[in-house]
Amino acid sequence: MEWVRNRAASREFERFVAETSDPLLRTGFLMTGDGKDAEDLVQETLLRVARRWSRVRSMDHPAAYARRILINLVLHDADHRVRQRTELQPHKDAAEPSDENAARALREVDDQAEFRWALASLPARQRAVLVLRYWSDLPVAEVADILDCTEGTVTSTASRAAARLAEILAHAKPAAAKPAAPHP
Amino acid sequence: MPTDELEHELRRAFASAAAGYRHQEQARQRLLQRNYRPGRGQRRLTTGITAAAAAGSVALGLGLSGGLGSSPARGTGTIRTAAFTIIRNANGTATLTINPRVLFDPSTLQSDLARYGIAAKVTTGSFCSSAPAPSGFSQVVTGSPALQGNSGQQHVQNPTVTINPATMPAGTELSVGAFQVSNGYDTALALIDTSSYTCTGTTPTTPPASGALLHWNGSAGS
Repeated sequence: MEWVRNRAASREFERFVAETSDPLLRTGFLMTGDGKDAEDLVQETLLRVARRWSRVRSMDHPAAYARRILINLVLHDADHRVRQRTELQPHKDAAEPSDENAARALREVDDQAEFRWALASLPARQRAVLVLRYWSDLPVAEVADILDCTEGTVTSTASRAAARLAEILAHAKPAAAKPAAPHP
Repeated sequence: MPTDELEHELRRAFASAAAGYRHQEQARQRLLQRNYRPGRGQRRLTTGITAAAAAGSVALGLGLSGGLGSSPARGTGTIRTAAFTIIRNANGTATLTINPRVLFDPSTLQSDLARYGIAAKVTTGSFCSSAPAPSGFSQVVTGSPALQGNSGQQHVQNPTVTINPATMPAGTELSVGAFQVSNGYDTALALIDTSSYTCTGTTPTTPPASGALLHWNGSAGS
């Protein structure tokens, strides 16, 4: 990012990139299921951070700000204003597996490609809830803040998404079905 | 709310899936290149770069303020997350305990170590080292069970590591690199010279010079 003109400032920003790129890349990878897409997302995220650096650097958690941008970039690609409402509503007709069965389905996953494929099959906001809760290990309140919803919505979405994930893992045959592009 | 068992399985599955992302060091280097075009054209960066360059006024300040991590519940003298716990001891040292079943977020661990005065470079899937390695590792890092001299590989479950930042030579940082392996993950520890070090994505098989290689057994307790 040589367009950051001040050499010393550029070194500092590179340090920020070095410190944050790994978790951002992994988050992007989980959200998109694709390493190249993850790099695209992270570079765009870092560009946005750089352009606002004078404000970002004074934040308590610059990396959390960057993570929020990344998640929102993924969600922005979806037709989120419509999808957000539908994805966060319960699928009344869906027969969800119990938590016990869902845990068993997850425990039996021995192929990470299978897990990523199942994850990519979830709608973007459900994926975001799971990634933020169980990869980034954020508290429910922080996830709710990032996704601009209530804590109750995060909790219920997490339950539903986990159940759906387990259902996909239990019934789908990823070897026969080529991993599909994730929801944008 | 998913049950504790389900949440545990989710965390485990996500840690494994995230560890499946390789080449992050190369990706990190590519991210620093202005003209890098990584993807398939779906998310182009040209507009952002052009706008920033045209404005010519991206003013970056020196130094980073604040922590870089998330905000897990923290008590006085203790930082506790699902992946690790850091306890600040009365003598100025800090004791780090890793949960081997939850792969830690490197930026979170790094910033939390910094809060206790420990300058560290924490990575997952890569490890940074200096040649020659700065001396003094054994004064900075001690383990329980005890590390074997200046360097040694431990195969223990849930080891704890005590770090004494007061003994870190000037211009050094503690490099902490975690690698997912079949039955948990290995963590390499060493001091690095902040002005001269290199990073590699190769999983270490022997302890680094003047450092240690610890094995965190992911099947512990399960």
